[in-house]
Amino acid sequence: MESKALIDEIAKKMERSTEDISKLLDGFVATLEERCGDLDSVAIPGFGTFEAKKKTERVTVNPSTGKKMLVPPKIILTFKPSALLKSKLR
Amino acid sequence: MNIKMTFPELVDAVSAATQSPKRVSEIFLKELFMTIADALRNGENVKVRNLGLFKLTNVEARKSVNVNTGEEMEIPSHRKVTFVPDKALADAINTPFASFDTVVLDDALSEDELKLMAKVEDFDEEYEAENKEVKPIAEHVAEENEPKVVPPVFRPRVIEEVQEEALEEHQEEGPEEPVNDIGKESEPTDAISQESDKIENDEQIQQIKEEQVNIDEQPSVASNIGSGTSEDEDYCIPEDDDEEYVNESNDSEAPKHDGSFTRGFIWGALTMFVLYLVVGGGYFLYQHVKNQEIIDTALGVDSVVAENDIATLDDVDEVEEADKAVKISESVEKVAPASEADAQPAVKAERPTLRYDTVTSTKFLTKIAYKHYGNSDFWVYIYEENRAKIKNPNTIAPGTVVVVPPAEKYGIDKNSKESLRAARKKIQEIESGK
Repeated sequence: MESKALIDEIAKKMERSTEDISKLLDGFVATLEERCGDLDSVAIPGFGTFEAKKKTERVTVNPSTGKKMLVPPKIILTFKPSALLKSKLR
Repeated sequence: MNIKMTFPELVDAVSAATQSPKRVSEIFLKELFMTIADALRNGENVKVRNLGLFKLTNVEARKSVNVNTGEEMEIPSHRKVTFVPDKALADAINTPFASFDTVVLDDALSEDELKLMAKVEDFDEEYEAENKEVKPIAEHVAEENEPKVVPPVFRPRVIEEVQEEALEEHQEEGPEEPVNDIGKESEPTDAISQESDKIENDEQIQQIKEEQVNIDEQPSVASNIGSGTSEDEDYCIPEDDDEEYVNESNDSEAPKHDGSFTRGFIWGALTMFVLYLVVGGGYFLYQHVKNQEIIDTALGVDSVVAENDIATLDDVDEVEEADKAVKISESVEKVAPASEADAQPAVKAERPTLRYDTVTSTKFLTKIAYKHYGNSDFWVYIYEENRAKIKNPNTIAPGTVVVVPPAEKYGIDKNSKESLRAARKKIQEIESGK
């Protein structure tokens, strides 16, 4: 399902314009970005948790060339599905 | 950091960001995730604009062993969802480390790296040693100049010097030194002395001597100016007293630390002790002078009354003398507040407004922050306050004494989310600045 179809479906269910819905979606993404930028996590009941995690730098070896590479530290956004979502998918 | 945002908070934040009613954003969020979950259940991948892709993957059946019973079992094949964040969102979250790139290392570099690390360790040790020598001492002995520089080996001599100086000081400045305690403590003794003057006028000369002795002893009992007893003892401070004082303060304020800090603390305690002696000595001397004057005045007035009939010329002289005495005592009192403002509050003001704590190998800024403010995230303010001393908040030499700023200065409130948020923002800034 593409983003447009998703927005249309929500708009239909809520009986609101797609503009409103995309605005709300942008608001949610902005909130998520802000919170996860602070390394906080955002929990959505029955769905899962969005969490920012810091990965430390590490040295890897390129298997084809055999060169060592220093991979810098980074913060990544992870999603951990809740037990409810997992059981739905089984 | 590591705070979980709950659904109601998320609703509030979204409605604030989009200026829409809370009810609308709540329904929207529920619908959004319900729709995504439904689509996933129907076997569809869901791509959300700006957010990312929720992708279904198949997990094949595999055999496993029940850890408790040791029974073999098979985990059936199932689907699971993975999330791949949108590029823009991932980059936005990674901004603190965005400037780094993957670096290709030479094969030979591993040894160099080791050397580099060794150098860094050396530097750390040097830094630590430096700190141990100077910082804890400097912190506590801010008012006294000598002990700051002098290494611990010369300690006994320095103490003597300081004491001698202190003595000279209160011999010279004695009359001007007195403390605001005089207002309270000298009243009873004054009253007593004046009364006794009036009653026992005849034995004046003897009386004066007796009273001097009395006053020497009285304040030492009544006053709480530490263990200073009489003037003679100022010359040779009893060792026991000294040690007791140090031990006491050690026990109460700094339960565990390394040797260098103990030394620093001893210096601080000794300085306080010496200051108390100076103040106390000044107080005694002032008592002498004042009492002398009171007696003089009393003497003058009394003798005026007594000799009034006999000689009128003498009378005038006597009155003048008495006036002078009164003026002198007045001027002494005028000088007193000025010097008292320098001496006493300087000693006292240090404690209630600024608190200190020590970084040890097990107690970092976070622990200190938790102890004083109730939340470890507020360490950033302690760091802020001690920027001059702490170059890198991650590597602080054990024994470093830090100033703990009062909570009001930075609006620290462990129950306020705003305050916590501000502190975390600051941490982020510091980390990204490094």
